[in-house]
Order: sequence, then C-alpha cells, then structure tokens
Amino acid sequence: MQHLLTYIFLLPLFVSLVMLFIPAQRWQVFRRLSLATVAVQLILSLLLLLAFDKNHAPSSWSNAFQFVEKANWIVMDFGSLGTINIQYFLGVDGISLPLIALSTFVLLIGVISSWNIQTKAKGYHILYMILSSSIIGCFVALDLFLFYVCFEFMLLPMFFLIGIWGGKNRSYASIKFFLYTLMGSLFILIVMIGLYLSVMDGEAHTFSLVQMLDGTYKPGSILDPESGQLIFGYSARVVAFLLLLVGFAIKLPAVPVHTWLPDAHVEAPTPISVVLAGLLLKVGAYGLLRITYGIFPDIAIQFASLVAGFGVLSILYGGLNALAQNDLKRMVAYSSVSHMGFVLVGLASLSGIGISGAFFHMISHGLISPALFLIVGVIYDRTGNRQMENFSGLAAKMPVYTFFTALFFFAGLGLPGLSGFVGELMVLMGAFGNDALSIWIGVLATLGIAISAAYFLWTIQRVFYGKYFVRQAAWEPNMRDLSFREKIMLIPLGILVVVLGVYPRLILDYSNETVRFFVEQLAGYYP
Amino acid sequence: MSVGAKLSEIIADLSGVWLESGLMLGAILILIIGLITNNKTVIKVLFLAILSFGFIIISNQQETGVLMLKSIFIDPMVVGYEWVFLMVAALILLFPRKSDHAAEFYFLMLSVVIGALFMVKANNLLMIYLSIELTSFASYILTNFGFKKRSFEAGIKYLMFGAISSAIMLLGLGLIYGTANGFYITDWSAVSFQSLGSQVGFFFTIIGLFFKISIVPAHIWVPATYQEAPTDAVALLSIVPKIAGILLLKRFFESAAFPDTDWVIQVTLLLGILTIVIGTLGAFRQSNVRRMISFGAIAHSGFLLPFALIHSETSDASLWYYTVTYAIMNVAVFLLLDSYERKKLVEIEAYSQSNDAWMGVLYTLVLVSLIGLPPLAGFTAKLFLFSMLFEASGLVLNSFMWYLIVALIATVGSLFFYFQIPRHLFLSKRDDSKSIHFDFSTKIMVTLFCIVLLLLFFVPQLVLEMQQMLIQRP
Repeated sequence: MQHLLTYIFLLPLFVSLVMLFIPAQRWQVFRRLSLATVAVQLILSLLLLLAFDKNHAPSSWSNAFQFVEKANWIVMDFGSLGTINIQYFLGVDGISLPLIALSTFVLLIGVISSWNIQTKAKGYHILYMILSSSIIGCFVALDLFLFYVCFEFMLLPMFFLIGIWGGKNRSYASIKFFLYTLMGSLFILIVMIGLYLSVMDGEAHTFSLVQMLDGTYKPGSILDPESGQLIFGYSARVVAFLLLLVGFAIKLPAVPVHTWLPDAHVEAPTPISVVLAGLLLKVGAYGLLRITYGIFPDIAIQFASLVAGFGVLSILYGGLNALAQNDLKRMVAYSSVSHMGFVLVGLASLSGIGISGAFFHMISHGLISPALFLIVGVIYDRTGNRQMENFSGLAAKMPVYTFFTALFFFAGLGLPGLSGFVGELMVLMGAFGNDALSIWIGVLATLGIAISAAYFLWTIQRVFYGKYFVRQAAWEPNMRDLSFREKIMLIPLGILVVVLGVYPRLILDYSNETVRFFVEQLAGYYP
Repeated sequence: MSVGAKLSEIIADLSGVWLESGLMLGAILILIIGLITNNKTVIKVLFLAILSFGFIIISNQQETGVLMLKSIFIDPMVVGYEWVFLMVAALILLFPRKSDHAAEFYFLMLSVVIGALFMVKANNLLMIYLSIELTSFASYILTNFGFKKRSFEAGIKYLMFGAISSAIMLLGLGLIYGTANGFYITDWSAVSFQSLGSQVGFFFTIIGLFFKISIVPAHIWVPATYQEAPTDAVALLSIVPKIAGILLLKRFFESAAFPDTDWVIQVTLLLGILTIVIGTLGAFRQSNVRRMISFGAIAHSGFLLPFALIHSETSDASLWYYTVTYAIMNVAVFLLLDSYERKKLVEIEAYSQSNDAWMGVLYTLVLVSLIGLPPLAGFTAKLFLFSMLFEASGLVLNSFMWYLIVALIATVGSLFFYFQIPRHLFLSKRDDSKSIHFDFSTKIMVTLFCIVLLLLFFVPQLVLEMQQMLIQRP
C-alpha cells in the first residue's frame, strides 16, 4: 500500500521501456501488454478509492493529502537562486483521487478501442503507455516541477498519436495542437518560475505545491500578496493569475483559445479522441482548480465575473457551433467545448456547490465524451464517413447502437437521472447563488443547456429516425449492430453514467471535505 | 637578478599558457606528419593524442589571476570551459572523414580551439584582437574544405564579413586605448567608460565579438557557411568560438561595469532580441535542413547573450549548464544531419523517404532538446535561462522581462520549424519510401548522446558537480 501512487504513476512508463525490446512483428503482444498494464492501474486505483479516508477534514493543505510519498529528486546549489530543491512528491486528495480512477478507467476503454490497430502497433502502444503515465502524473504530482514535466510531456506522445495514426489532415491538426498547448505550457512555466522564487519551505525556495497552496511566501518576493510588486505596471499576482488562466484555458479549452480542439479531434483516431476528450481536457480543468484557483484565491475573487463570462461564452459559442456541424465528430468536439464552459462557470461561482458541481461535471464529462466519440467511431469504422447527411433511419437497422446513442446524448444534454444533469444543476445553483455574478451568467448558461438539447435531439432525429438510408450502396453490408468489443466499452460507461446520475454521492463523498476546506480558505480573502 | 631567477620567472609566467603552447606544438606536429602521410587514421590518432595531452595539462594547471605581463587573465571558472572545448574537439573525431587533406583539416581545427582558448583568457586589447583573428582565419579556410565552388563562395563571404567586423573592432580597440586608458580588461572600472568616445569604442569592439557569436547584424555569414562547410567543422564552429565569444563578452561587461540603464546595455539587449526573432523567423522559410539548423543556432546565440549581461552566481552556473547541454545537443544534431546527408537526404522534404524508426526517434529527441521541452537537458537549460531572466527582470527597465517574453514566443516558434523534421520523418509517408539503413555505430553513438541528454535532465547536479571537480584541483 505504501507506494501505490508510484506504481500507478510509473508502471506504464516501465512497461513502455520493456516494449522497446520486443520485436515489432509480434504486434499482438503490445496490445495485450497495454491492456494488462492499464487493468492493473485500474485495480490499483480502485484499491486507493477503498483505502481513502473520505471523512478526513484537513486543517491546512499540508495535511490535506493522503498516500503521500516524498523523496528528494534534484538538489543542487545554485548561486543566488539558492539551493534548487525539486522533490518527487506525490499525494492525492478528494479531488485528484476520483480523477485518477476516471483516468485509469478511460485509459482502459482506450486500449480496448485501439485493439485492432496493427500498423506500427509497437510505436502506438509505447506512446500510449507514456501518455498514460504523464496523465496520471499530473493528477498525483504535488511538486509543481513534476506536475509541469508531466503536463508538458503529454504533448509529445499526443502529437505523434494524432500525427501518425490520424486522418487525412493529421499533420496540420497535430502541429496545431502542439503549438497551442505549448504556448499555454510556457505561460505556466513563467508563473512556475515566479512561484519558485517567491515561496519558501523553511529557509529554502521550493516547488512544493503544498507550500504554494498554504501560501508561505518569502516577504517582499515578487508574488508575495503583501509586497504588491508590479510587472509592467500591473500587480504581479494578477499577471500570474491571468497567465495561468490562459495557460490552462488553452488545455481546457475555453473560447477563444479552443480552435485546436475540433481539428485535433476530427483527425485523431477514435481511441485517441477518447483519451483527449475524456482526460486531457480534465487535466486542464484540474490545473485550473488546483493551481490557478488554489494558489491565487485572492485574485480569483476579483476575476470571478471574467472567468464566468468566458465560461458562458464557451457554452454558447461551443453549443451554437455544434448545432451548425454536419460532421458528427466535429459536433461532439464542439459539445465538449460547450461542456467545459460549465466547469469554468462552476469554478467562477466560488461557492461549495458550484465548485463541487464543476468537479462533478469533470467526472461526468469524462465518462460521457469518451462514449460519444466511441459512438461516432462505430459509424466511422463501418463506412469511413461520418457526415450526418449520409445517414438516416439507423434505428431500424441498429437498435442497440441507437439505444446507446440516445442514452449518452441524453446524458450529454442533461436529462435528470443521468450524470450530466447533476453537474449542470449544481453549477447553475452555484452561479445563481453567487451575488457577485450577474444573473445573466446563470440565465445564459441555462440557455446553453437548451442549445445542447437542440443539437443532440436534432442529430438523433436526422441520423436515427425516419426512413433507413445510407449514401453509398457499398456501406450497406457493413451496417451491422454493435460488436461485442464495442458493447464491452459502452456498457460500463453507460452503467456509470446512470449510477452517478442516480447516486452522485458516490463521487461527491470523496470531494466534499476537500471542497469544503477549499471554500473555507476562499472565505478568508473576501474583502 | 640572476639569469636563472629571470628564467624561472618567465617559466612561471608561461605556466598560464602551457595548454595553448602544448596544443600549438601539437598542431605543428600534425602539419609535419602530414608531409609524410595523409592517412586519416594516423592523423586522427595523433589529434586525439594531442588532445589527451591537453587534458593532462588542464588537470595539472594551477595558476589563476593575471599572468604573462598582464596579457592573460585566468578565472578559476575557465578550466571547465577549456575542458569543454577540448572535449568537443575530441567528439568531432566521431564524424567520418576522408583521407585527403586530413592533416591540414585537423591542424586548422586545432587552431580554432587554440584561438578560442586564448579568447577566454585574453586580458589586453592586443590579445583580444589576435585571439579572435586566429579563430577567424582558421574558420575561413575550414569553410573551404568542401573544395566546391559554392563552398569557396561561402568562404569568401565569410572572409569579407570577417574582415569588416574585424576592422570595426580594431577601430573600437583603438578608441578604447585612446580614451579609456584601459589597455587591460582587468584595469577597467565604472569610470573607464564615461566619455562617449570610449563607449563608442567599447561598442565597436563588441561588434567583433558579435561576429563570432553570430548576433544580429553580424550573423549574415552563418547560413551560407553552415551550409557549405564540412559538417564536422560546422559542429566545432557552432560551439567553440561561440561559447568563447560569450565568455569574453561576459568579462567585458563585468569589468566595464556599465550602469544598467546605459545605452550600450540597452542596445546589446535589443540586438539579442532581434537575434532571437530573426533566427526564428529565418528558420521558418528554410527547406534545407542545414540552413534551418543554422538559423536555429542563430536563435540560440540570442538565448546565450543575456548570460554575458547578467552577473550573478546563477548566471555563471546557468551558463555552464547551458554550455554543456548546448555542446552535446549540437554535436548530436550535426552527427545526425551528417549521416542523413550521406544517404543523400539533404532537403527536409527528402526526409520522408527514410523509414528507419530508431534514427527518427533519436533525431526527434535531439530536436526536442534543442527546442527545450522536458524530459531532456535542453529544457533544464532553458528553465535556468528563464529563471535568471526572471530574477533579473526588475533591474533594467523591464528589458529582461521583454527578453523573457520574446524568448518564450521564440520557443514556440522553434517547435514549429524544428518539428518539420519529425513531421517529414514520421507523419508524411510517401509511397516511394526506400529502406535506408544507417550504420550501427552511428546509431549507438547518437543513442549515447540522447541518454546523456536524458540523464542530465533527471540529474542536472552532475553538470555542476563536474565543474566543482574541475575547479578544485589538488
């Protein structure tokens, strides 16, 4: 039990090293190895969920984390910067643990979904394992340097996974994804340096997230709230907050820095879309919650309206774009942008229920969006096409497929009883409950739900209802209902979506204490 | 004073330049052996033997401070860089080379190294000029070693720019001598450069150094030279004279002690920013791998420049780390470039014909390090640079903050152009991709370079400990 986090974090990396030495001809070995690895990760994360003490009420961030592992990584004497002290520091709290469980689960779905990839299977699975490690690493890292390395190291495998196994326009999409997110990472890097120079652990500078959350600033340093230093005439803390906000918003993604997402999704192979929508976006949201809001709560209060405004913009703009799409995958991609807007609104509400809602919405979207991409993948696998106009009346021919599509579409549009509803409801309650936010934020966000209902229902009507029709006769023999492998992926996702919709405490019990403490900390900063 | 005492005094003085003297004798020895045989193996072994001899001298060298009638100054830090220069020269032997003109080639390579070694130690104006000319002249001829019309053209171009900048520099040195009364760098102080004449002299002088470091506007020779000169010569030229120039520039600014708001500092910073911008933008448009890498190297000069302007322990340590990783990255990238060129893959487009995955992975790793992404040493080097700029940002009217912002944007830009290579290697497969096989030995070598780059990311303290070890001799 002692090094459980390390095992979850580094196991895939180790497996990828092993894979290097397996001859590429034996391509089946790689998928089995991947499956086994991710399955072990899932089991370990379930163990963590069981062993986690949900009722632990933290009194400061330094005792908020469980399963903590700490060791010195880089210690070097570095002139006027003092001793550089980077730690291998892992730990989880009520927010990161469910996200880890979600990650291992979605990664497992991703492996099953990539079961039939034969071309360059060796490279594919090595990159997939590296990706897996770096995603988990982001959620377990309590040292900002470690977090950053994992955060940035995600880009490289993702670039190649989209670029080599992607669609026709993959080269453009992958480099666009890389450039956008690298820009975001560099914003984060700058703030990381500033935080390093400002935060002390005893006598030494530190990268420890815990110290940063607790705010043990060096008096007079650049990001010390008391010192009020300026950068280009603006308060250094405000600049840092905005840089972090933009950095993570690119990853989230929020309008107007979302444009890489539709391209990346459209070109990515199905399993990579699953991981991208299910997990990478959550990393952005997690970074926003933990780092941007955790370290700069005083500024977050000042900028609540701005963040909520961008959230609403994402909801509406993403929704309207989804409405206008003819490509199913592009539609789902824009619905992701729209859904991530709710996370922003929930965070901006700065209330217990709003932040819990944002968090719950992250988990729920982490289940729904992979399912949606799998559903798109089903049609694409059979026909090599996913334009809505080319299909109609599929319900007659593929009833099981239609059932699952309807289930996840309804979950996406927030039907009560399914997980999407809970998150959106809580976010809206948070938004309406906060007096600092304009009433319009809540109203427009609610309108966003109506838009999502429109595009999901319209899609169902166009593609599944009506007279059976497919554009090309050659597709006809392929239009079979779901295969066993597809069911294996969709059934667990469906069960979880229903269970979380009916009994959200399954997740919220984990996060409650952490969110409560987080909001308690915030309360101290209100003027 | 007796003759014996005088003699031992001279010998004691000479002890500061044992290394250079030894290498010079070695260089002459190479020339003489070259008259007898031009067998490359013999010459290479001799070259290596001379360098090993140099390493031995370094490890026994003890003098620091002002020596030889004040004409050289040995900073304790210098030892590490001497070691790096010799190490790079030794790594150059990894490049395959034909037998013809081998003796002359390695003689000139040694001359570049000797010139660079003098550059980091030079203390009076004459030594500065002579050491820079020594590296330059050897470089002009090295550029020609392709013995093609185009390399001759590049060599002449290089020579012309060199001649102009050396003339400007000479003028600057004269001005300094006349107005600042400072023949020795160690005698300079904050009062030396108060008159405009002396400031202009100072600025003209550093233009000569800008030429060596390839700072805008003295960077124009770089693409042509890098494209036409033999790869091993380019690898050496892109590292040794550049680092030596930065070190000399660093001592210039340290001794002259300009106030941070002085125009000399501001203009230098501006030129540095321009270097990054022009290097990055220039690389966007290239279709030839070498030219692209050469523009990348110009941008790297811009990244190196702030080390010369900021004087702190952080700056010293960061420069050392940057130098070591930069040297490894550059040797590795030129090794890769060379082995692809030997397979007739010269343009970026042509790289899509290769399907050797392992070489592609190595190439990508080295480029990732050049961009500065984790988990490779290039990231740590850039992290240190950014931290240093951040720390200094309050000092000069936010100039360093601007520098930092430009450097960040350029990092994203460098991703764009460096990643043209992996894109063609992996992403755009054409049907006519032949199976191209690379030597096993090349693969092993580059793999080792990549392992070192990875290692230096995970254990960066190794580099600093190495410096400590070199400085603290018995």
